[in-house]
Amino acid sequence: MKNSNLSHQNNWDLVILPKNKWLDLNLRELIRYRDLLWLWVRRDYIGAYKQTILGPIWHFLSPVFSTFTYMLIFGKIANLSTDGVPMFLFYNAGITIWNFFNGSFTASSGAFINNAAIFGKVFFPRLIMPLASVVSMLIKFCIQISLFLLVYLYMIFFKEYRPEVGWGLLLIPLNLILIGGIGFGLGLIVSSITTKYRDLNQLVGFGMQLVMYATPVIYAFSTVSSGMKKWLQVNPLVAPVESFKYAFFGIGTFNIAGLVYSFAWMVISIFIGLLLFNKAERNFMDIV
Amino acid sequence: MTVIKVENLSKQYRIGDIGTGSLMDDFKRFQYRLMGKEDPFLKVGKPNNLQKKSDSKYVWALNDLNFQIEEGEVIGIVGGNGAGKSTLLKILSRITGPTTGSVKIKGRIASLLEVGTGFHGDLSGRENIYLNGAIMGLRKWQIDRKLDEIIDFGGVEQYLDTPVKRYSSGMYVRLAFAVAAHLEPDILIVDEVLAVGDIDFQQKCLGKMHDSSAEKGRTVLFVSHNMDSIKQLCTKGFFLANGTLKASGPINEIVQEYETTLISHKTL
Repeated sequence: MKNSNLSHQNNWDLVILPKNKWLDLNLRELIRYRDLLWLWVRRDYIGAYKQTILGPIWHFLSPVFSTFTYMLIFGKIANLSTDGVPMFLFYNAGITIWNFFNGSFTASSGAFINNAAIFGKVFFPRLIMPLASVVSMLIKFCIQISLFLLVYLYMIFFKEYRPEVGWGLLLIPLNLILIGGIGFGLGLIVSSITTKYRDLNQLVGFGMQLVMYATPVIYAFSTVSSGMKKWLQVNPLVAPVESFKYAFFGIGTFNIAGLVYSFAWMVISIFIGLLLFNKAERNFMDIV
Repeated sequence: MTVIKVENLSKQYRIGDIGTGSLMDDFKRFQYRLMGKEDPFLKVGKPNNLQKKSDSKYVWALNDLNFQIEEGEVIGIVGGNGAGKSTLLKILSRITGPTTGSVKIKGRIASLLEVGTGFHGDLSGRENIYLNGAIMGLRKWQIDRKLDEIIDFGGVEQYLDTPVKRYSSGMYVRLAFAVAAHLEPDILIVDEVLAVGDIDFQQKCLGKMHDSSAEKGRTVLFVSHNMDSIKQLCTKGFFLANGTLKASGPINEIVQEYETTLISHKTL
């Protein structure tokens, strides 16, 4: 740089124009900021439980509380079937996987609005923020699932619980990618649209509840009538959640076509999400 | 060598509320685009003036700016409130995009529009050094290497493991500026951020900025309302008024011109 001469006059490192290109991902820049991603994940993690005495144990406690609530309401009062799976495991698995989706989606969808103060003062690839939130959620999921695994192994070794487990276990990472990816993609879409007009935010809170009931979180998919199943299968979360439960409990309907369908959802939602995000990040500071 | 080249740069803002009004404008804009016509709102709008009420919903915060900055120049930007200084810095640091025109930049830019961006009150000073450094574009190993220097410059070693929310505002700024001072970009953009530190620290920061331009050939853009620091640091000045570049030249002349305008207008 220092010894460049007149002939290098036109080698600009950066050209700022009114509009971004359609899909100007700038992966090189994104990779250069990868340390920020990890530090931001750490910040989320440490910041969340500073000045609490139990600290990260809350990661365990909150899903346990929800699990007991669900056991009481859906298990004991509503008497919903868990398809032979011990109640604690059934609801805990459902809650953990749902929390992962919900967290990935909610955190990504707040990417612009929640980080407006930082985005307004310094430039870095904006995509780092939603990516960091999905990584945070994945870590949180890993912590929460370890509790599930403890209870699961306890039931197998000491309570003679005999689930039919097989190669479905191998698909767990794929299920997580599908669930996290769809959450991320839809989150990007919502975050980009809500920068200017916040109306969608109102809908999203309500919509998430709806999606949760349309996903086999608190009920076993096998107990749903076949007419209903057809409709529920529109929901791209059904296949990975079912496959997740199939892996651990050997219950539920496991089908490849469903996973392919979810995969298509993931690819398309991330693609559209990136397009909108890329368009929104340019001038969002003026309208947020 | 030219490191920043700004051509026909304009920035338009819509004033007032975002609501059905802006939605109607968006529809109209969309409609025009479908017909292959130019954005209808680009033709309207008044130069930005904080005091006069105008009937237009659109104002031009920057209006057809053209200039070049050479490597190693230290530019002081002066102008009243609403002249477009911060808008210009925001566009140069890619926080917001221009409405028309272009900016071409050579080298790595770091901008300091606020000190301590991304600081988390619950994290310790040390953790925040890493976080803030990473936000500013440093890699972790780069921060590792400079950590001692940063701590030394900030002079808050004793509080390094205390959450920054317990810091006084002065300590906060010192720590934050210490990180910024060690970014070592090719181009440094500094908005009025030194106001909180004590005089001693302000001098230290100015000295650091001066060194980095004098010794390492870095380019600095500095916005301040403090004419003494501007004169102390800068070699050249830009005088912005109502979004246009009113004058540019040696810093002393520019400051003088700015001050004369102030006196003759008896306003900000």
